[in-house]
Amino acid sequence: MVKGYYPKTINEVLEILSMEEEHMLICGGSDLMVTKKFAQNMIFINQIEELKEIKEDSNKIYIGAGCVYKEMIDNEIIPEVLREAIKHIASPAIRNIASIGGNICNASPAGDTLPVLYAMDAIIVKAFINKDGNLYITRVPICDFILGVRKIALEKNEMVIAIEIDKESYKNMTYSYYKKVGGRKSSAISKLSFVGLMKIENNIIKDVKMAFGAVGPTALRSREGEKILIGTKISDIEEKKEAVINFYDKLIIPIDDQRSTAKYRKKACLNLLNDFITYKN
Amino acid sequence: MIEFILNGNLVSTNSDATTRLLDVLRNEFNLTGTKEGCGEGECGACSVLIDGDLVTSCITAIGSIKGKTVVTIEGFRETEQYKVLEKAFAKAGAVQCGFCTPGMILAAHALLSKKSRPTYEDIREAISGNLCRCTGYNMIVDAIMIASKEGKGLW
Amino acid sequence: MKDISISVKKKDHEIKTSGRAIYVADMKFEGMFYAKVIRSTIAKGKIKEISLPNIPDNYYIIDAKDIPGKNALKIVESEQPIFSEGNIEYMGEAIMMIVGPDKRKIEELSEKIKITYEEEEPVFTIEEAYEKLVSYHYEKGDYKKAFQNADEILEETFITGYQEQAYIEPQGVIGIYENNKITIYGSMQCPYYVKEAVMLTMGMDDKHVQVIQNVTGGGFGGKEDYPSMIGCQVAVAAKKVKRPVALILDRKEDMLVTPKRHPARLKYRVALNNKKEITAIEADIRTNAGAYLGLSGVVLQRALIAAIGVYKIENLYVSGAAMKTNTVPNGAYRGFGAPQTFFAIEMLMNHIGEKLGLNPLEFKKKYIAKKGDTTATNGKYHYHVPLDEMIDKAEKISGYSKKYKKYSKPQTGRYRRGIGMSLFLHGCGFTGSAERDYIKSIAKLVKNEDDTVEIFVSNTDMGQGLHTTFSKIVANTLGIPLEKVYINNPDTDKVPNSGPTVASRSIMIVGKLLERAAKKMKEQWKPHEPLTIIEHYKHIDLIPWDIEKFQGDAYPAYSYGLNVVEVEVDMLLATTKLLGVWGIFDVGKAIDKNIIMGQLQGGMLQGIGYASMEKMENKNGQIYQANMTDYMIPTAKDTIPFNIELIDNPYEGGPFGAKGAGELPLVGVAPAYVAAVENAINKNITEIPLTPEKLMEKL
Repeated sequence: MVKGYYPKTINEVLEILSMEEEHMLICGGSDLMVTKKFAQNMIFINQIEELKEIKEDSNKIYIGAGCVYKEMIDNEIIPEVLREAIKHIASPAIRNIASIGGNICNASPAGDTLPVLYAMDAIIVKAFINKDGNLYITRVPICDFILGVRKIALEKNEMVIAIEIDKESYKNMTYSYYKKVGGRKSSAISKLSFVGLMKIENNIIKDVKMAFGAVGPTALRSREGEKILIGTKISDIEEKKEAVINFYDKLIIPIDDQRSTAKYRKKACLNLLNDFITYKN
Repeated sequence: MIEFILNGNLVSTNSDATTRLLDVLRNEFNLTGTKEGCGEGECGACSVLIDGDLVTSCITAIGSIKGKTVVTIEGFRETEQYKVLEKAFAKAGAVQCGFCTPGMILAAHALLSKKSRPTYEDIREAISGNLCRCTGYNMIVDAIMIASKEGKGLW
Repeated sequence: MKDISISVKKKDHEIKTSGRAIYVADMKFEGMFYAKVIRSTIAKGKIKEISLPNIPDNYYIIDAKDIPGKNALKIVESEQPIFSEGNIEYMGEAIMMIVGPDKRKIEELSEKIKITYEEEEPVFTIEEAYEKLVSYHYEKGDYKKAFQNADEILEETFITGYQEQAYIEPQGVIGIYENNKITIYGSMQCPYYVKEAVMLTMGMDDKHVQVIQNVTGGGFGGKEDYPSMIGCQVAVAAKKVKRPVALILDRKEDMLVTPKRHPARLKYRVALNNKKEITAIEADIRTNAGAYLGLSGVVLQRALIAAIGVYKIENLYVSGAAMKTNTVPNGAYRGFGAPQTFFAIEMLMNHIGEKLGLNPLEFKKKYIAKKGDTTATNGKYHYHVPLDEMIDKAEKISGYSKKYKKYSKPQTGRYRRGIGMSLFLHGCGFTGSAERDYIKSIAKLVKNEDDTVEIFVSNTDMGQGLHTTFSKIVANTLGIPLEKVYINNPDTDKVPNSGPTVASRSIMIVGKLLERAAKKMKEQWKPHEPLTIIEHYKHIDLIPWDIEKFQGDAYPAYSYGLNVVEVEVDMLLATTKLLGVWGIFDVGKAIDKNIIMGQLQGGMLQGIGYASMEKMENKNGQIYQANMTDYMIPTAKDTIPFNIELIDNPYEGGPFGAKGAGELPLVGVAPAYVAAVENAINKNITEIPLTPEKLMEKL
């Protein structure tokens, strides 16, 4: 018999997590209920108001890990490119229960918020209570939090409480670009996805951030690849294009599976990359 | 024990917290209007309303609805909005095998509750998680548009 | 009397919309047990050893030894075992069943069953296959001479994939054994098929087997033969455990083990004379039958008969075989072999036309059959062939030829457009004289004292609206209100055998019986007096069908269709967007406009899925896309409003002039869709589904 816990605060969750028994957090359950792999103790966190906060200060935005997609789609604090990605996740019924924290902790190669969060250098905010009963909050970049396919850097007594995004990482961008390619226009798991953020000042690429989804064990982002473009004059993009595409051609190593082929994924990714970097031409 | 409001009544279940809401509805409350088509939240035949939002009950753990309000087709069919939708679905010929229909009706209501005069695009989006293999959808889309026009003031 | 085509509220509208309709999974019986089938995990070989866990009280293992009658599934022939006796021909073949009161316990027990096998070398594809489960061939004219004298010979091979029916209600049955009688409830198309199969397996006579159809959540052919299999399995179990036994498949199991549309390879050779006219066609059609014959022979017959589509070609050689592979047996799916062939012949005609520098439609027009022409099998087009009017109408509403010309000019940029057209027909009802020789339909009408009339037939409503259309035929013929006519889901203890609900036959054949019965009832009508009318099938004599030689009239009548599809191709992602979809159909006379529109709309979208996104592969003997997430059927956002028009062309053999309509709309969509993509990218395509993965290779 599975035991259910229904905490009302983050603190209550952390107290349960600090106990010895095996336990698992469940929010919307849209991933867990399909895999049906449960722990003896299930902690239901979908009714914790503290986890549903969306707020901002002058430097960053803060998204509670328990925010479901429905609550994020129309919230103007949420970066537009993230909202665009969320709009294309699954179906309305799933978006009513599925949470951003769940999408991150599920760490699926095809998790649709992940490439966007990678591109924006999102920070995962974790909390735990130590043996003395003190609350600790730690912060880790998403790329260090997600370790591989369904593998995350989360200790048994820890939980993800929020995602923070530095406004600098997406505001003042000249343009943003998002494309999900699925087998159909709704209710589709990504074959691949691409997100790009471009900052151009005085006709020079000041910053660029690009990430690919569903073409590797985790979302794929390379600062090295981006550096090829940074500092390039818009008029010189055509010259740099080949180097960038060659770079990602080597970097992207997708697989064949029941949803698509490695060949298609690679080609479509490179085509989108090309389209993104030449977008303003 | 998990308590929740089901079609207006306070009810409880002793099922495991990870039991699917779908199973609780069908097996414990004999509410068989909620259908199982795929068991993984993909087809929408098991759609119900939880606190007014459309949710697929096959991937909803009963623990996650503690204290919430659940409306199934059996509850919804007693409403005035249902009558308008039922008529509109008849007029447009939107029902064939019927297996997706209760879920479609609830998806339509969930949409109209938020947007009483939707565009065709809104309608397609709203039912995009409810698969129908019989109709090709267009007659369902038309039905929901008819309902939005006929149901003035109800939504 | 109002025009019968005017739509009414469907008889089952309210129970379905309100959630009151009882599907098989909604039924509960006192003391009911659940069943789970244990299936082979290898594709070919022999069972070496089965090790069972301790089976607790109240749980039972059911296997071949429990079968009282014949361990064989009655379909066309009876070659497939109900439970394996040691031999394994495909992955997923039933070996045994666990039955008991608690589903979780059953699941737990099933995981502890260990089966070891002696594996043999399986074959999976048409290419690898070496055994023909059945083969046919036929000829017309002197094709040899035509090829000898040809100025040019063209060859092209077409490939079509699996298609899963994807009815939203998975398959399920419940078996009950009481007083030495078996009763089967279930989701099904053909109650008498299930009954005959159960009689054979149980060794029971006609009086001791009863089959009752539940409200059925879609069939599309998928519930033609497989309910017989699971019906037999629960019958065996119910007799052994003396309790009701329910077997409801979950989606994955349904997709892994139930029959699908046959993948096919179609090789065509065409002889052209020096005026670049087609003088002969040779076609060889191979289908992947799977491990057992099942319906593959009859599916292949339809595929072969359709070899030259709507055209008149004087010299032909058509051959085909259903190839045995160690994969799940394939079977019926809306169109029954015809969608594969129409994809091939329509693309072939397009390609020849374009090679000759013509608009494909202009090229096709020269060959379209007319009334009085002979068919591929030397039958005759006895009735008006309305394709010319249909083409005119299509040009008017879709602007096909103008757009084709425009899009044929070189296009540049990310998004490119194309338009395609297909012409097709569908033979209504069973092939040849099967209605007379095998089916022998009987329909019954009973008038009660209160002057209500009940229809007794074995045909099922699986969503296509048969309860409503049958009732309309009877009510309109009798001249009484529709409310006075009713019909229940068939119970073989109550209804005569009016045949299966397949092959676009129900309205044309059984509807005609009901019309005749209603006419007789009207003549004998006396208020408040009971009256029963029983009507038997009457054959309309045409050119006799010879199944050995494939000669004569293959079908009593044909329904006709024309599709136009316009698409936009995204050259970056090789994805497509529908811009327009048109359909012109001749179904004789629509018994109900809404119901016919529902059939046409739904069938066409299944056709678009077949052509584009519905990819299913068999990987090492197992279906690779075995859930609704990986096997993609279109959602509401993947389609657009369709523009559909009907041609009035009443058929004297059908009630109120109606012909078959159920399968027709799926038959011709794929070639129209693919032709549109070809038009956009200016490349030939010979394979469906045309997924972005496939299309990207062409760009």
